[in-house]
Amino acid sequence: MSSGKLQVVGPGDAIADLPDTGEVRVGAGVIAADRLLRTVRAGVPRQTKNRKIWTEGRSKRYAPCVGDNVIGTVIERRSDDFVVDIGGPFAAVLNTLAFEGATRRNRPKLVEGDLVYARVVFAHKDTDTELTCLEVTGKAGGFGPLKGGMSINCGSALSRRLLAVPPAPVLTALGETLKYEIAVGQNGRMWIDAPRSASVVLIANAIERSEFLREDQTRLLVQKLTSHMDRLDDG
Amino acid sequence: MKAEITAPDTREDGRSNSSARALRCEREVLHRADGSAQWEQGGTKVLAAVYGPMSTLARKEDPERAIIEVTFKQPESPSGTDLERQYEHIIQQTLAGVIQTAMHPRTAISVILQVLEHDGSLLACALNAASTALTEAAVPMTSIVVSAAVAQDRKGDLLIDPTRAEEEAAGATGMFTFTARAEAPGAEQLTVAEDCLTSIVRGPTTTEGLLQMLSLGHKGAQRAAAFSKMSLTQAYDFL
Repeated sequence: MSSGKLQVVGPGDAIADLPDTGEVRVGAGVIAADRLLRTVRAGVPRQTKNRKIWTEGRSKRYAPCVGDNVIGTVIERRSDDFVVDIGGPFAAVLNTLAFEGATRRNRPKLVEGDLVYARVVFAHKDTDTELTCLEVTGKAGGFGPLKGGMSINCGSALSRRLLAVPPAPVLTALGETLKYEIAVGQNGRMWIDAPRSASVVLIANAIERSEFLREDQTRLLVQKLTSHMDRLDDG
Repeated sequence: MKAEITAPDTREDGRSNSSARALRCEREVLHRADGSAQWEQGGTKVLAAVYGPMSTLARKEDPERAIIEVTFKQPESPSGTDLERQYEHIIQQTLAGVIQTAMHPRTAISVILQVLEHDGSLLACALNAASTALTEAAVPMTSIVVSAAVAQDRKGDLLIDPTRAEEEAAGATGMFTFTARAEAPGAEQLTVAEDCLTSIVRGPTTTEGLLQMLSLGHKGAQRAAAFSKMSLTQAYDFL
């Protein structure tokens, strides 16, 4: 972890000694056992600025975690809430009043199949996961229904890369020639919208194919794809 | 533990008694599965797919933990045989020993094993494939499992990683599964536990013979563990 080269760990591997103080902040995928911190899944051990240890891995299935921003599909309408599929083992519930400006009389008109960008506010293995489309301030803050566009599953590793700061090279490279809107959920889903459907498809392809490419390769890929786009415009 | 190996007799395929066949592992081979892997030991090839943790039928679910379902399929018997049911049970029991089922109550973790080619040491190969696919699916586990098969021929010599012909000609066959994980932060190699997680022995053998089989199985498992670590490091290199 401290050395320059990344160390890949597998399930059960020891990643750090338990400090003598006995106080340590652990995140997803890490458990404490026999004076050691062990990972329960494969990946690379990482430490956040506030010294929280966690394992960064990849997965297609999502395990809900409080504070995650997710993209969900409405699968059922009920009197007080929407049932939303977020890719976890169970569907989550989203209260009809958890939208900006929503009241008893003025509820968002969402139907089955609609997409929402929401935040996980409650996640426990024994109960339903709860979502909200509000910031703590009560404003939408970017959350809410996603109209138009297209959603694709991209896996947790890619979605984490897209959410990183500074932005992933593929996003900036695409932004130089195309106008688009993107929402990335920590549940391994992303939503893309652009004025033309051809650009949506192009962007989706570019992002999916950029996962295992270096920065220069990504730029080349985007250049190649966007040049086809120009030709489409001419024809 | 140290395996006592008799003279380096060459076997039909040119190997010595204590040398295993080449290992090959491919990860994330299936697009739709949550985790998948293909594990090959010489001519034996098993494809494993893992789905879950996912919601399951109400009558199946356990409020305290995840249930593990194993499906074992061989190409030549599409309808399912008693041996397959037995293998499913052994694999299910073994995996239950390492999967942290309490982390995902009311869910099911489904492991599907498809035998592509069978040339001996099938159960060991299937368990290695299952463990790799579970790792890919990020199912929480306390360690990986590594397995090795051993056969004792009619002369009493021990053969590691036997082929199908060797298994059929053998007096006794054994399959041993161990847990493997890094016991210290930053360890280069995985430590294979001395305690055996699962042992399946068929055919008559002496106590001495059984212990020798176990220690040779441990050696085979160590090789599988070292290979598994190498494969994992390469697969996660992009992170």
